[in-house]
This record gives sequence, C-alpha cells and structure tokens, in this order.
Amino acid sequence: MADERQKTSHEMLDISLKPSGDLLTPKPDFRKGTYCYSAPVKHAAYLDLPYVRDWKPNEFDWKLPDKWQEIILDGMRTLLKRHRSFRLFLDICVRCGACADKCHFFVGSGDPKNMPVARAELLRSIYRRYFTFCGKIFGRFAGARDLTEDVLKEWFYYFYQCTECRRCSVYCPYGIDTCEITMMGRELLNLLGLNIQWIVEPASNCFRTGNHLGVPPNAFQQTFEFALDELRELTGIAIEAPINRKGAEILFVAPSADYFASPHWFTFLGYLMLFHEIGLDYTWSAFASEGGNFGLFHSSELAKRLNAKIYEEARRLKVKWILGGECGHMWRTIHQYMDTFNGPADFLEEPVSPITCTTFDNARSTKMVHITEFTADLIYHRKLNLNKSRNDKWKVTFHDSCNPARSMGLFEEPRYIITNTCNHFYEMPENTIRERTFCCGSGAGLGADENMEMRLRGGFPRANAVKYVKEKYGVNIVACMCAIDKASLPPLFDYWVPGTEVCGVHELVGNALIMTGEKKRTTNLRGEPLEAE
Amino acid sequence: MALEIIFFRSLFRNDRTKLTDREQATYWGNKLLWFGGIIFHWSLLVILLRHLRLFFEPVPRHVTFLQNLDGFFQVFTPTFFVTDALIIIALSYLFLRRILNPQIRYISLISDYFPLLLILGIAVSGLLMRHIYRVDLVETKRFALGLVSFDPVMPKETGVAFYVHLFLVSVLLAYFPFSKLMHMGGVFMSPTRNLKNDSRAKRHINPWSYPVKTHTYDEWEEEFREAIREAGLPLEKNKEQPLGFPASLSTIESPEKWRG
Repeated sequence: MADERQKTSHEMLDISLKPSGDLLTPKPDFRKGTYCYSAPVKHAAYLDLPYVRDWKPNEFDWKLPDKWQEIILDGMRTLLKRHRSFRLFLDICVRCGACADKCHFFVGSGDPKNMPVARAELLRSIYRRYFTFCGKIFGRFAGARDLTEDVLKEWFYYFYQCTECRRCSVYCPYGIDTCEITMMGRELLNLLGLNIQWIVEPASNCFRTGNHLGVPPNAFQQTFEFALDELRELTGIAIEAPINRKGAEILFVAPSADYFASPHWFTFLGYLMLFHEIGLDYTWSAFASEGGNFGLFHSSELAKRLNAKIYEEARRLKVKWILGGECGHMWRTIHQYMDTFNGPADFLEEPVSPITCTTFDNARSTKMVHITEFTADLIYHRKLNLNKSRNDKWKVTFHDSCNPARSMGLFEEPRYIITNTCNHFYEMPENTIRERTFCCGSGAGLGADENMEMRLRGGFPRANAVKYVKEKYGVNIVACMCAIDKASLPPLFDYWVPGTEVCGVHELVGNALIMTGEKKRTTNLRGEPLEAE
Repeated sequence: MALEIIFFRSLFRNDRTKLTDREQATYWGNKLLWFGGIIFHWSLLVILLRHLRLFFEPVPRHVTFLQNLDGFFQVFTPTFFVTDALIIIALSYLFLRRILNPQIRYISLISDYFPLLLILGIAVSGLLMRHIYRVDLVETKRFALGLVSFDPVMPKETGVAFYVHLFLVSVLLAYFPFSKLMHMGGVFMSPTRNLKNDSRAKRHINPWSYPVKTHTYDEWEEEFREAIREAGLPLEKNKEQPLGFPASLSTIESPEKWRG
C-alpha cells in the first residue's frame, strides 16, 4: 500500500510528459488515491443493475460472470449498431497526436494511457481484434489485442479516470469525442456490474427520493425555511418559495447540492432573491428536486430513467415551461438528450420570459431555459437594480464549466452577468477558458474522496491557470456554474492555490441585487461585512 | 465543416502543453502539425489531379492549367513540380515526428508508419522515373488509357521504376479501405462536425429508443406520504386519512460528504 501521507505539490509534479512504454500492454495499477470504490450492493440492487455483487477494484478476483467476454463483445456489437459515432470514432483516428497533451489527467499525471487517443485505443484495440478484417488476421501488427481480464481492469481504471469533459475533441481534426468513447466504455463495464460508488449511490438516491443526496420532502422543505430565515435577516424581506404548487407558470429545477452544500448554498440564496424581486410566478418541486443526473455517468438507460421525472412533474404541475439552475452535466443531459429521451414536451409552451417578453427560441423544443440565459436577458433589458460595489471584496475570474461551455456554447451569458454585477473581473489565459476550458478534475462521477490524488492531479491545469491570474491580478474568487465544480474546486484550490474562494454566478447576482424594500445590507450572502456603500 | 476539411481548422488551434521549472503549465501555439498536415494533403490532391492527364485524351484544360501552375518555377527539364518537393518534405516531417516525439511514438502503431512510408515510396519512385530513370510518357499513357477503358495493353520499355510505382499504388489502393486512411471519407460523417448543436430547439428522434423503468410521482408520493404531509406540501391522493406506516428515513445518506 502506498504511504498514506498526502503528497506535496512538488512530489505531485515529479512527472514527465514524455512517456515511454507500449500502448498495447495492459498495466492497471490500482494505487490508493487513484481509483474509486465499487458500487455498493444495496444501491446497485435498488436500480436493478446486472450482476450485483460485492467486489473491490484492488482485489485480484473481480468475481466476473462466466462468459464475460461474450457479454462484452455482444454489448459492443449492439453499441456499434446503435451509435454511428462510435464505429466512426473507432475507425477514423489517425493517431496524429493533437489530443495527446490536451487532457487534464495526462498533464497532471503524465500517465501515457491518459492521453485521449490512448484512452480510445483501449476500446479500439479490442474492436480491431474482433470486428475488423485486418485485426483478425494481423493481430498485434494491426494494433489489435485479445480481450483479457487485464484489459478489462485497464478499462475500468482509465474509463473512471476520464471526466467526459470533451476538451480533447475540440482539438481533434475529426471531432472524435472521447467523452462518447468513455460513455461506451462505461456502458460495456456496466454489463458486468463494474461501476463505482460515487455514481451508483447518488443515482439510486435520485431514483428513490428525487435527488442525489437522498433528501426526503420534509427535509427539502425545512432547508427552504432555513434559507428564507437567513434572507429575512439579511434583507429584512419575507421571501416566499413555493414548492409543488400547481398552476405556476414556471417550474424551477436546480441541482440538489445547491440547497444542501456549501458554497452552493449562496447561489441558492441568489436564486430565491432574484425570483422574489422580479415577482416570478414559479414553483420548486420536491419530486423533481434534482436537475443533475448521475445516470448519465452510468449509461444512457439510467440517465433516461432519472431524467423522466422532470417532464412528468412539469406535466403534473401544469406549468408552461421549465427553468434550470447552475449545473454542469445536468445541462448536458437537458441540452443534448432530454427531448430525445423523454419528449416530446408538447404539453408545455415555448418559453417566454414573463418579465421581458423575450422568446427563448433556442429552447423551442425542450422548453427548458438555463438560468444564466434568463438572468442575462433580465439585465440586458434593465429589469434589475444592481449595485456592483457590494461585490468589491472580490476579484473575480470565471471558470467555464465543461458542459455548459462545450456542450451548450454558454460563454457570453455568464460573463455578461458577472461584468454587470462585479467591478473586478479578470480572464484566465485564453488557452484555458471558453471552449478550451480545463475541467475541475472531478466531473463524470469521479468526485469521490478516495480518488483524491487523481482529482488533484486532474485539476492541476485549472488550478494552475487560477494561480496565474491570482499572482497577476490578485484574483481571490473563481465563479463557475456547475455544482460539481463548487464541491470540488475548494479542496483543489486549497491544495494548489490556497486562499482562493469559489462561488456561483447567482451568488454574485444575489449580492448585487437591490431589492425593493430591503434594509441596508451590512454583510454579503456569506455573512462577511460589506464595506460602506 | 468546409473550413475543417479545406483548412484543417481544429488542428490550426493546436497548442503544446509544457510544465516549466516553476511548476507553471504553459501552452505554446503549435502550428507545425497543422502545417505539415495541410502541405501533405494539398500536395497529394494536386499531384493526383495532375495524374489525370494520363487518363484523359485530350487532356482537360484545368489539368494543364494546374500543371503549369505547379511547374511555375520551370527549373530543370522536364519541369520540376513544387508539390513533389513539398510532399516529400511534409511526409518526412510527419514520419520523423512519430519517431522523435515521445508522446507520438507512444501512440504510434505499425499501421501509422506503414501508410506514411508507402506514400513516401510512391512519391520517390514517381520522382525517380520522371527525373532519373526516364520513363516513356507516351507508352505510360497508352497503358493508363487501356486500363480505364477496360482494354489493357502491355506497355513497351517503361522501366523498373514504373513498375515499382505502379505496384506501390496498387498496394495503397488495396490497403486503403481496411485502414485508418478511411478518415478521408469518415471526416464527412463525423457527427460532431456535420450536425448542428440545436437539440434544444429541434427534436431529434432516437430510432432504437425503448421504454425504461422509472419511479413515477405516484410511487414517490406513496413512499413519502408522511414526510410530504409533515412538510405541509399538497398531496394528490389520500389527503386526509393517516397512514399505518411512517415514511422510512433510516436509509437517508448524510449529505456531509457533499460539502466542500
């Protein structure tokens, strides 16, 4: 067992980006801190997942079912039939190496199998061996290899070491999307019940209670009472937050971490203040109390099962359209898949902002609008009174969260909101923002504590860019709009760039928002004193 | 999409990540791969088009025009073509980087070296028969025309270089459909390149979609009835009667681990 002491940052960076070795030889090494625990039996069984059993990744015997090779190859055949992208991505890579040094896990760990092309070669070598003419005949010479237990272990190790952030696909001349490769790899691993705790447990909680944290309706309602009390103290205004109210115009869905974790909480307060101030006719739901979707990190089937409740609840509550909070993979699911999974949403209306009468025709079919699109529109039409100086404590930079950035192209809206609510805003270097943004290193279900070393390594490029603006401009807070970022960036920054805070975009809105009838604010949402206004 | 195929847009924004001594990650613009790639592919296209003159009688005007443009410098007799030099330089660069760059060496397979060397061989043998072991052009053209009209004639006195050239081209053609060279057609089919990111504005149908087991609102209300009532939230069914069992809260996981 590796030593238990946390490595120093110098030891951590004692790596080389110049790999040696061989692409085709499997070498899974389940070193503590670099892999996640397996899925607990109770939760896997609740979700009716296949081959539920008690096993551990670092043990030799994975208790695989007999004929496991057949199961994998059959699964691969099905996926190749279903996904044109999968077959294409396996066929057309020319190994030009453009993606090689783009992965945050490769930059942070120097492990050559974390080069995106090498990650795809994990599947490609098997595809060649069993599905292509050349691979069947020439074997290793054609880059093919047999499906052995070691290969399977290697799959598990590296497909749970990819955060599906899609940075590599930006650079690929053929647009090969390693996120989809990882998704396919995980689909195949799932066929043998090989999944991790940090994905299956939240997914099972979400299936049962409606949210990842497993918060039941009464606790859900209580947390709102806490928030409303806090806001009454801060602003002197009695705000209401309707839950499960039928006939409201808009259903609001946020990731559950927003109303339970910190620093998400302050973003939650920001939402509540904003909706009260503009007099929005809306409701929360205790049933669809989660926008996030850990099923997406598992399989498309589980993603669809978890996602179904949002439209179901919208239909039951007879709302007109849906507004969604700040979250990363939630928006990948909603933007890319929701309509196809569980649509058509023909019982809803095309989203129109009740305040500005703007039609969000970019969400014409899904009928679900991102909160920054909504708020940016309010600010653009001058519907909000904002006092930027209340955020003067902060020198802000914006971390483009992978999914809203690369899946949705949501670059300008959050920046527009930040520059309208803060006086001090600085961009990180251009190779690390917008569509080239670096992941926090904990996305796609890898945010487990036991995986901390790998998380710190994966987050290194992001933290490093923050360090650069911190030294140059004195940046002391990183705004982002992803619940996993908000949970994983604080420990990351504590390690690499101590003294950097993390906040959501709507926390800054909440601070700057001048509410009708509010008392003089003496603190910001975090309870820290404001300088005299 | 057009930008991507004609100008290799994604490769153009390539950069190279390095860790400096001060533990700072840096990103240098790296246009070399883009440059090598684009020179190679465009030269190859021009050379292929030039070869059309062997297959058409009379030679189409634009082929002649291309040939004149390519032989612009008019050094040597017969005219030396710019693309011939460019393709050999580009191929050598692409080959050397596979050997010299440790990252690329790691990911390179035999099937990566092979086509590079093959095309290099074709280019070199082509040059040899044009400039050193001169080949009778008229005989070659007679042979080529015979091939495309399905009426092959054996050429007289064309020399070894021609047969080497022809053999390597045949190998390439045979190898092409089974190899990574299919990226030529594949790039047009790449869904991340040829589809619009409009899935919120437009509904896309999944042909293999199948119904899945979900947890419905009714089941949820049934399970959490007491908790919903305690929270004072509206219920759909059995609004009044108390229930025989309390909502089970024992399995609720602690949210502590989510806190940063």
